[in-house]
Amino acid sequence: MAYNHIDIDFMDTFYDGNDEFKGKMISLFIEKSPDYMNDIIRYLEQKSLEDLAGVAHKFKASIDFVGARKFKEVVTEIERNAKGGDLELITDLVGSADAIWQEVISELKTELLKLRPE
Amino acid sequence: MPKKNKTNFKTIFVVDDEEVFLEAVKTHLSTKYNKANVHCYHSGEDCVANAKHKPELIVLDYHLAPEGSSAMNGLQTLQALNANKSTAHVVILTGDDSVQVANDTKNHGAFDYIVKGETAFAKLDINCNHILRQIADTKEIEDFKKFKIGFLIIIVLFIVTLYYFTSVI
Repeated sequence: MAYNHIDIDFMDTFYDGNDEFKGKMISLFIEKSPDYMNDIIRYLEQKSLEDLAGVAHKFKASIDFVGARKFKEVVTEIERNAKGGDLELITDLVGSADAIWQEVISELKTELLKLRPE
Repeated sequence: MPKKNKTNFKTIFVVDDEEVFLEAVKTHLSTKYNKANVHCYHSGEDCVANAKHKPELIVLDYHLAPEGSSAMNGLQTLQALNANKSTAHVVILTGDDSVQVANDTKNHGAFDYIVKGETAFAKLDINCNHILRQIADTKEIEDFKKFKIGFLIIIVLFIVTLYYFTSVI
């Protein structure tokens, strides 16, 4: 099954066929990423751009483990623009990141079900 | 044909304040070097405090605390490890693609500087192989030195014994 956001071929290469490791990282991303997304939205609302850049920086490294390149690009843009201070652009980017993130999570849950059928 | 690396890591430290990345590096290294004890720390302070475990490899993040925080960053951690005469090979693994930070950490003895990304683990694996080769070479030199000393002692003992018996006879 092809997904819109997560790159399964990349993940299979990255985890070298180790489905246990792959499943562990998908679960961890599903568990931890809501905190990052909530912080991004909260810091934007508070116009706390330094904190926003910090949380985006921290978040982006973990996105590689689920092969969600487009999502990583948007989070990287949030970090870059938060350092620049263009609030209107950042608001658009955060909206876009939130929408993509929800799709990424949905795709990851589908993939996780394949790895760990209930 | 290249020499096969028989040396393995005994103790590895992974230092990162980001939970997902920390877990990924830990699992990757634990799988690859299954005889090694992989210790995880969220701060440079914890890493330095536990340096007594004498890790051969430390995978160290650079940004270990929010901007303006008094907590140690990767460079300060590296400096503290140097001050404690740590012999660990330190690989900086960071999301910060900065020439300044890369130069600063390498000037303070970091083995390498890797930017987090899709190829980071492949680069880390290459570094690990180089570090293991270096450890094996150092051990070989030390073993040879020990052999030389042992051999010299035997020769001296032989000469002394020979001298003793010839003087008695």
